[in-house]
Amino acid sequence: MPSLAWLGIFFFIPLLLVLVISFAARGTYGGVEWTFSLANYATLLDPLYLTIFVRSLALALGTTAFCLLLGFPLAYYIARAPLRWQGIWLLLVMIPFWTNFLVRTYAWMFILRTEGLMNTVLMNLGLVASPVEILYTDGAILIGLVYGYLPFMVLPLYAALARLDYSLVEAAWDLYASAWNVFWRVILPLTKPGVIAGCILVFIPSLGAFITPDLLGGARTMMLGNLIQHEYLVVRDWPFGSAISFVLMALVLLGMMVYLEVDRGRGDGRRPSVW
Amino acid sequence: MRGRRVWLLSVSLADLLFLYLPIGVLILFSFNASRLSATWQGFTFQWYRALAADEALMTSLQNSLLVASVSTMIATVLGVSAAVSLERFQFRRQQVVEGALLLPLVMPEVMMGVALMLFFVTIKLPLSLVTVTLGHAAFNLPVVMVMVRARLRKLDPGLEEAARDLGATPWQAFQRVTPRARPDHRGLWDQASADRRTPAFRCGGWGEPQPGGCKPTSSEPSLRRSGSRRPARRVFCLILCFTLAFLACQPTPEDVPKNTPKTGADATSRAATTLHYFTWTDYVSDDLLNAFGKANGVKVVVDTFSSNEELLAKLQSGATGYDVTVPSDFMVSIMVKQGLLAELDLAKIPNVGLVEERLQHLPFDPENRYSIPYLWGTVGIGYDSNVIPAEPESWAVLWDPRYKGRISMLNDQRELFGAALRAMGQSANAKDPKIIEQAKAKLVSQKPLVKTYSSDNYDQLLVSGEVALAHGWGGAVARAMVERPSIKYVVPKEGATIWSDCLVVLKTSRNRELAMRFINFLLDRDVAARTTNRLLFASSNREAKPLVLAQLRQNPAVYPPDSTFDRLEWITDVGEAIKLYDRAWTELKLR
Repeated sequence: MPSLAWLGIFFFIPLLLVLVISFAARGTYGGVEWTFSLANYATLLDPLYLTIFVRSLALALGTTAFCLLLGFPLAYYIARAPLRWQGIWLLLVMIPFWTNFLVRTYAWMFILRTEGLMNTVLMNLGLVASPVEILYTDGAILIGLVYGYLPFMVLPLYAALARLDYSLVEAAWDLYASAWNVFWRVILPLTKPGVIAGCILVFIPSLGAFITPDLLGGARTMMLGNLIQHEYLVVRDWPFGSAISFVLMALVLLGMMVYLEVDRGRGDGRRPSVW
Repeated sequence: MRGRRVWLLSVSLADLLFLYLPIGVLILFSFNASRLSATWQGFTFQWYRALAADEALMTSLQNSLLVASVSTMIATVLGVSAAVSLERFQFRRQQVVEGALLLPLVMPEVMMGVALMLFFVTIKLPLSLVTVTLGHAAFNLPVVMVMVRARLRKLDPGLEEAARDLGATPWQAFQRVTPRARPDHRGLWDQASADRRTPAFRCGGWGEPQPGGCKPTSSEPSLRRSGSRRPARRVFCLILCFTLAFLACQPTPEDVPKNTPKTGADATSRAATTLHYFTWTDYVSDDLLNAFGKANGVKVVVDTFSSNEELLAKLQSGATGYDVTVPSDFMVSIMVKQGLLAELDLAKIPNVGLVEERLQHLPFDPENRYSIPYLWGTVGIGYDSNVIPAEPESWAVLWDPRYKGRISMLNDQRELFGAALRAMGQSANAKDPKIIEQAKAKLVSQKPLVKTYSSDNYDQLLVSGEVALAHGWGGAVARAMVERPSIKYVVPKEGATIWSDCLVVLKTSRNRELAMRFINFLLDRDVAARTTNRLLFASSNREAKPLVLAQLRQNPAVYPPDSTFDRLEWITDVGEAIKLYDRAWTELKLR
């Protein structure tokens, strides 16, 4: 199968290489010295690096949660709009994507800086007395990530909501379900595959994000993506960078497997329809 | 019911506002007259004019389109075949194969990029647009497969069987019937140029600005339903224009290098006519490059880096095709040790004789065998004299809690530690682990006061008033002075680093002859003076100094005054101790 061969060469062999190199040691000016040791993995157990893993997980989870909160109402609104409006709304959601991500992130820097647009507006409205310092904080990273990945959430949610049979929702209303119950017990379970697909599509890239933390976080702190990039491109410790990458990958795969198992455990016989 | 709809609509509109705010800012600032674009300085069309003339940007656009189309073609062919075989045939281990094909979808991109880079370096395939394309195809293949498969699943296999029964060959059946699944792969054209910077940045394109694309998801077909493709394209073009204009007016951000050296067949066929210049962010003056190009009938293509370490990392990871680059002093000696540099043919570079006396016989290359000083200066503190009325004499001001949140430090390993070490009264080239550890502790204690670590936009931050103190290169501080006259520059009394970026020719260069001529051109008296006037970094050519604008000659940020020289120190290669610095720097960033 040609596609399998292609991925074998340009995906699986490279991954294997990362694994192999993660057991080697670095040369003085970068490069790889071929030894076998677990030293790189041992270093990772340093609380300093564990903190980075925890921070990155927290930011990625936060991003996913905010995307879901913001994205669900939008997706629902689009799915319930008249058909010819749906296309326009979806188009509006996607257009920002056609601009370079880096450039859009720079635009956020203009908005969030001390004398930027956001503070000018807030001060003129008299909402705050002194400028809010948000650029170069975790808050700014969160805004940037949510901004970057919101459409990844909206689109699969929309796909699921568009397929939803609304007579079921109406039935719930007729049976005097509260708004919360309609959502929690009818809409959400029926659109679960979309919710999960959206969460995966947001969570995974935000876990490995490195541009947003660098620009909006002011390069003061790191997320996993930055750490990997730092090890490869700045301090040129490829073996250690590989070890971090591999642990990250293992975490992601573990998460996926747990999800698949849990889903299979529910056992309605269907295979999980993430996509 | 009505209340709910209003509520949903307002959340949706708020979402849209959120999505479009940066785009609006982008459009607004693409008309901004200020080059530093920190503040609004009036309306101008000049960036749009500059855009039309910006060959580098246009080349990168071509590159993006090329990579997008070729990788889309590969991914489509492979992805469609995978989808058909998974959906229409049964075979052993089908689940395993399916899982394997889907795996790239759940892999963080940085991970894929890293893996591919290691792979290409290992098989010694030079990083280039070719490797970017191969990588993108691997990324896109599973996406194509998923989308086509979803469509195939809805398509009645009976139709194909009917075609076979009516005497169609398997190929005819596929070609004439299966196209009912086509709209799905048409959507792929948009997807191919999606914003996936990682593979490009790792695999050698170093992320040409990728001007477009939406990531497809299972809901992609819904766009089709609305039939809104055509207007979509027009909007796309318009946004593309705004983005490009914005890029043209930016001091090239470090992550948007403008070009990729061509390698392979392309390089050989055009080798004689193209010179690849790998230089610092915002270190070139286009008109001078064009002048050289016209005079010699060649094209100069520029790519940029923003730290010495990044330069070394990229060259070590196999980026080839560059001819001339500009490492700083200590990096020259590392690159010599690594065997990356070609010996210079000084007979072809007569301007080497005009180098300032101070910059002759520098310890890292006393005979100019490999390098010639080009631009030079000091590292010090840029400060806003409205905020800090008395000249800060000492590095200690950067540790002064009164300026919490208004300090920016260089995001550069050796310079950052150099500042801390000098502040401690040590050499910036300390090799003693204890002293490096102390410097790290000092920097960790400073971290709460630091607004940002930045090597390339602190001039903007000074101008906008975002920071009042910036640890930085003199020339960049001088640029901030132009827009905000209250900015001043000081070399602290404990001493600071002096640097010289040197022109070198890479061993992998295929145009050494032309490279020597280019170096001689950059060192020419008139060219050097214009370079200094434009970039505000001092030229190494002593005869150029009298031709430089008087206010720059007297600016201590540009030409270090004689009185400071006894407290300036060169950064040197610290050998094995670099691992200590690496570790300390990583730890500082992790805190």
